[in-house]
Amino acid sequence: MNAKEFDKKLQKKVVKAEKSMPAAPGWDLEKSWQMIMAGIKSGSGKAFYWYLALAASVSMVCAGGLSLQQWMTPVQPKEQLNPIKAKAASSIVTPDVHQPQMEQQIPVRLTRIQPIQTVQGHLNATPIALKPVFYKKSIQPEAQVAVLAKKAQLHPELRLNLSTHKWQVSPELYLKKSVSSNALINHFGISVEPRIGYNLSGMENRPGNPQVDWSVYLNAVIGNDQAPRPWLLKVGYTPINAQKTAPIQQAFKVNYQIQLKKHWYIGPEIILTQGFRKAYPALTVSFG
Amino acid sequence: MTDHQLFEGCKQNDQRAQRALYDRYAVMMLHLCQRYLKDETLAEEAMISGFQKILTNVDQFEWRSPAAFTGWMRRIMANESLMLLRKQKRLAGKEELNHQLTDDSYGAAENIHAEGIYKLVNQLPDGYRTVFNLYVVEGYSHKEIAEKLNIQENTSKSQLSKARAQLKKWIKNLDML
Repeated sequence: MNAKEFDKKLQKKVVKAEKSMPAAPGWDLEKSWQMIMAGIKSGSGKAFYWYLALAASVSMVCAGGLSLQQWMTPVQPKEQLNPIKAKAASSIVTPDVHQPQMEQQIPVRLTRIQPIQTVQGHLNATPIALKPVFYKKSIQPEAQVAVLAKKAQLHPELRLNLSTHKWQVSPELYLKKSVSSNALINHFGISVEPRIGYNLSGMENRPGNPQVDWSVYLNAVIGNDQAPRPWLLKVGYTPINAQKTAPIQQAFKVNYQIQLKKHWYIGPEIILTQGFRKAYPALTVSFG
Repeated sequence: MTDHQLFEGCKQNDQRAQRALYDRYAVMMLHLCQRYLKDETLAEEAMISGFQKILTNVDQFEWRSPAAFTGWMRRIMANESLMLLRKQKRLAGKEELNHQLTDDSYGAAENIHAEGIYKLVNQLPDGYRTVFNLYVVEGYSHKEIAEKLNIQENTSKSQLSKARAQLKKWIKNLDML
């Protein structure tokens, strides 16, 4: 009998034994069932609170996003809503090349060949509002973002975080909007935080297989850096992470930090995964 | 009720179907967990958390056949058992075979063949037994086992061959096959 046949024979016998063998005399089938049900119910009970937390997180992210959008598109004066006036106001810009619209807006119909000086005279007599419209050259999208951020008075800040959850390191770009320093909160904004670490115990779906673990969080941030003890609260969501092949694809996190020394923040965080059924508490340290 | 009906019932969160699935497979899964864990209490713990995973994630399984469904459940149970085993730090990749067949295992071998083989497998040291269970019974490849147990592929192969050799020796002594 070769090894393959031997294995097959043993496999059949083991499975057969498992199917036919009675349970150990002391084992209580009913009690185990109750424990299974209790575990499932407590999981779904917890889920209710997690969903509340999720709703709060999503509301915060949406509210933050809407507020930022409002700042980025300031209210326009009424006269600017009139396109002709608005265009006329922009005619102070000297064009590189004259636009063809010019011809359509000249009120004089040219029916015969005229000396160029005469036509020039008509042009000079045309009211400003009907003068050809010239536009500024469109700016690049990256520059637009920078301009909008400047208009919204958003200040980019860079931080470096370390979390005890899988010892992940994350650089974080925080777009910060400062508000009245008398309020409870004196700044808020959004941040992008790619996290990377090495998971020694392996993923949930591949236990025992150490590998690089990563995720990208989008955070809504509030805080007060003028308070006697400066603090930060971040609510984050990751739509993508290294476990994209597992049933768990998304995670939420809540992170509260207080300032220890200048530029140094420390505080707890909780990461919620598997449809809010699993919670991973951790400690974070930030510099920035 | 067929397995497919039970599966559909569990997907609908029907508690009767869940209970029927448990009644049908609990003992089998308990034995499976015991094959990895030996300890009855730990095996029960693995079986309970395995069933919780099965019942909460049943909608993620795509029905193909009863065998595939059973295989899926068995893999969940095996994974739960491995996680517990790891917690107990009983997995030693370079474990030496210093285990002698006890009187008890000779007694077990006197029972029906299948049950005797099951008990002999349970007599293997933890490292050999885990690799044997994963490769021979659950059908994982050496590569997958190496990833799961965080050991070298060659270690998995050598542990399997030692497990085979030991089992052959015991079976030959008992003339079971």
